[in-house]
Amino acid sequence: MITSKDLAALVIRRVIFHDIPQKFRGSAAEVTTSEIESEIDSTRRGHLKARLIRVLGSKSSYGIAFSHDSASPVPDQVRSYTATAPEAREFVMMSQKLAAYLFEQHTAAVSAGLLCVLDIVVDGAPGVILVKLEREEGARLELTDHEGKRTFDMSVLDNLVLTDGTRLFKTAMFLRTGKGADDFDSAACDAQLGGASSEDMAKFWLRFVGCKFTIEPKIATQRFFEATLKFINDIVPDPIQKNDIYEHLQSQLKAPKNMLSPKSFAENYLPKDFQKSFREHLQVWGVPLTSFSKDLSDIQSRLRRREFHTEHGITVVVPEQSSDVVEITSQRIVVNDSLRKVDRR
Amino acid sequence: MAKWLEERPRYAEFGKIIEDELRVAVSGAGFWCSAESRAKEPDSLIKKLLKGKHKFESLPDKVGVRCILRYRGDLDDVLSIARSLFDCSDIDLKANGLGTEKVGYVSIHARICLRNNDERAVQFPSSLFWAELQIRTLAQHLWSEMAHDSIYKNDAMLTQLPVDYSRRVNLMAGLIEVADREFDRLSQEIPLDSTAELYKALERYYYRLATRPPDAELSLEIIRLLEPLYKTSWGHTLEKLNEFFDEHEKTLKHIYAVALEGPTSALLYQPEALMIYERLEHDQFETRQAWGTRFPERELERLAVTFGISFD
Repeated sequence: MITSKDLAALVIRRVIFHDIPQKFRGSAAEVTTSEIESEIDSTRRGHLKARLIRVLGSKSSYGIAFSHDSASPVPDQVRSYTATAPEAREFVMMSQKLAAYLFEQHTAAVSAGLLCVLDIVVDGAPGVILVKLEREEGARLELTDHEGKRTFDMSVLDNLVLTDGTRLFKTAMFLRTGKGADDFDSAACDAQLGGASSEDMAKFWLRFVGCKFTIEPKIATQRFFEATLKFINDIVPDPIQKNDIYEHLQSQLKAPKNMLSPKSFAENYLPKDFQKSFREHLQVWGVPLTSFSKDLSDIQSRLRRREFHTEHGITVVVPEQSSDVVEITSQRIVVNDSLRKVDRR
Repeated sequence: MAKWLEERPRYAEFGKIIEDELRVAVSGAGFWCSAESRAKEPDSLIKKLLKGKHKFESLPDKVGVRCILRYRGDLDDVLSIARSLFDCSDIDLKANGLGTEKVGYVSIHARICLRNNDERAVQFPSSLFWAELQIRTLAQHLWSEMAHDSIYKNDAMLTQLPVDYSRRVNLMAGLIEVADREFDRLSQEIPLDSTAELYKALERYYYRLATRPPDAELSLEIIRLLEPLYKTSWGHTLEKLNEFFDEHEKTLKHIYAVALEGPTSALLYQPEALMIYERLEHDQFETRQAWGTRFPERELERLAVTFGISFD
């Protein structure tokens, strides 16, 4: 788990950019690689760090871990690069390999972009950050020549990274925590995941970095659902508030979004007085506060509702799991429950 | 002269080592301090040698290090800090020499050098490199500078100061000593409200991280705004801040060290930055809500990012 302490102590040691074009069928487009790292001044370094903190520390970021059945070279490259104290030449080579693999994974549906690779250190622990920045096709990127070697100059940072615009930004951070192959704290964030993008697009970044979610989406979703129900039942005393939160839980789980952020759920749908206790409650239940990928397969039946429509245009809506409170005979529908409120519409 | 011109940079370097180490340790102990060092100017050295009292090798103050504090109550603590860091000898409490009936110069002087087991002592052996350390309060410094440098030193070169003038200068030493003592007592006696108590406590943490003077008025305003979020007594609030500082001291030291390299949030150089950090970690939503009632969110966000906290 990458913490705010880690992000505060993050020091950027090296930065390099490679241009990854869109891959149209039959086109001869190729990756434009830098041959040496970009030089950045301390002001830009500070701005870049702030930008990374905003993204990696956001509610949309999620914990990841290296996947053992991935074909991506990213895990092994990150492992070996952070295992020693590498020199600039090794940094360039490692980043070029990652750029080549990213281009290999591109399809015509994936937009052109820049891969930015950063060599970082947090409190003595080495790490790597990968950032993919989308760029408009045809946008000019200034390549400069430094002692006979090609590199992108600082205008790339100014134009693509440090603007406050809504440029899409996919990131992954790997921080070594020990000597073992899997001793890493890692997180990722993908601006597209918050939207209604296709599952395939959403998984693209995770596939590239060769990682899986720290908590299986199915488990995270079920835990969040159970923990929230428990909170509604045990902690929220007012029946009207109970109902409101339950409705929001239903709608957010069913919403056509791939990711769900419990922290955002608390901020947007819980009364102010309950937000803190809800976050603490989720932590006790082992639910991540940052985003996770939704997978409803284990709770699908509990989200369904049964609707009964009568001859007189009356509709009774019942959660499927509570459908036994409704008794139906040929002439009567009986709801065995107590009345809580009456709304006029 | 040629010898001193050649050796002076090394003495200046030695003085800077002592000054920096003392500043870090005194600030780290939570005291406001202004530290400075200087190697004797060549002309000043020559004038001293011309008087014939010393030879070049035995000249006592080739390097001077000064540590100026706010309150006389802090003097002993700072002397202890100096003794814990360096070899201190010839400690001279100038006030003791004045007895009960005289007033005048009242700093603490000591001769300090690096300890023999200090690896830098190879480069700066104590047989050659030692400095005269002066520890004094701001008030003592005022009198010393005005009386010693402006009146005695300059005028004495030209003419013997008449008795009445000397008496008037010494009377001012008495006045300033009264003021010095009074400020010291006031700092301990003034009944403070919880906001001021928190400010004083936060200031102590702050000077362990930075030396830039804060805007106290802004501090009090921000503390007043955030204090109710703790929903407890100021004593408990202080305990929380204490715990938080201990847990985050390493991170805070890194943040303040990096901040020197480039532009950062102006709020970082306010003692209440620690309180803001603690509140943001504890309950970001509530803190942002309270902040938004009085100050622009953008400023809070800039500080939050410095602490590795994202609002997105």
